[in-house]
Amino acid sequence: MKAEFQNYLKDIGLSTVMADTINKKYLILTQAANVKDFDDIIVSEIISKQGNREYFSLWGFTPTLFCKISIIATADVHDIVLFKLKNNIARFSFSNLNYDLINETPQSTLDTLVRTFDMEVPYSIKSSGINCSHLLSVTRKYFISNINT
Amino acid sequence: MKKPAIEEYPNWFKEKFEVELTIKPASVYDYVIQKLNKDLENSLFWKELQKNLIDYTDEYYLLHGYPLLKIENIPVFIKSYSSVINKSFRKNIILNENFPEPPKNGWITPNNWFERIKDLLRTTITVRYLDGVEFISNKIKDLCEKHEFGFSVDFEAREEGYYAAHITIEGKFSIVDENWNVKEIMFPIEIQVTTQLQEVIKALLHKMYEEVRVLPSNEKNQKWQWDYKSQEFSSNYLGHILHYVEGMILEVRDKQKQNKTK
Repeated sequence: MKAEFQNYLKDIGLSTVMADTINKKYLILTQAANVKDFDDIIVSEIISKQGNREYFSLWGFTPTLFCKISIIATADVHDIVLFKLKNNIARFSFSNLNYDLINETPQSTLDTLVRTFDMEVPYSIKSSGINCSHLLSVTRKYFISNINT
Repeated sequence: MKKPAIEEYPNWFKEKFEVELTIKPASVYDYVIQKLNKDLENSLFWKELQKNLIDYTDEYYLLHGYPLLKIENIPVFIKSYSSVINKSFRKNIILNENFPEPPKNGWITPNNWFERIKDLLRTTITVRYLDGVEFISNKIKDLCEKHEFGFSVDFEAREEGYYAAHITIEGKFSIVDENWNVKEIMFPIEIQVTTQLQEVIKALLHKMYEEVRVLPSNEKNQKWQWDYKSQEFSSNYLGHILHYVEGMILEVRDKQKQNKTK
């Protein structure tokens, strides 16, 4: 995994255990997507009402595709999905937004719901705290720029 | 010889050991326990335990898909001097089958109560799920081995409906005796690991337990299981029912996980 991604994982405050898991998931996802490295990644996570961090998936982005792998594998099933990216974004939306998209705080939350033309159901990427600005960044770079017009 | 009641205990103690419990031992206890508390919080073991909680909860999350702990600093509770007296009374008198001779392991006195009473410093780690009790207990055991602390655990399942793991860790600490001489002891610290539901029950019942504990045996209701009007009947069975419900919650969780793999 690239040093910038390791720094990202550190910045969003992952525990040693979770960072280790994400590293392993990253390797599997690169294998599935047949790339050496992704251009960008994001961890989909939320802070629950009880104050715990809950993790859902790791997303990887290249110029032509984006893909995800579930954090919680069930019986060694990793739940990987890959989608074409180029000009393939039909719709995306923001929800669970509780800050001004500029000054995030540790309590900030931001969710994105994205649908490509070939998705059967839309997919959600969730973020909290400092991860919100990262989600906003990948949304601008990959989803907005690939909205089919 | 008739066993003294709690009100008579300080006089009995003074006659037996020539020690006035209300004076010098009290000030020595207060000084020593504050020092022990500070030494524990500054120890590498305790700092690592605090730091590792997030790793433990994420490890459990990865195994089961649900968070185990709310991540927050583990507070340490100091036993008050009056509670120490009560505890010594229970061990020296109420539970002492050899009275007026010493109990099986000897009298509890200010000379040895820092080593003999296991919960002068204690904390509680509250987990969300029943299997988390053993999970955390094993993690603490590993940490004790790493830092050369003694470790023992009792998975309590009491008739009164109380369920928790009582872990005793033991480390080398320096204290002063009643003559203010420094000595090194193996000091035990109690870590209770219990579930959120049991913690609620414990808080409700703690006061009642403390009152009942200092009563002589013949004043206690020996057959609370048949006295449906008694406070113990509803509160004790509530504890058992909650423990059963927590087991059922795990069954449901595990079945959900199985269904996901089909």
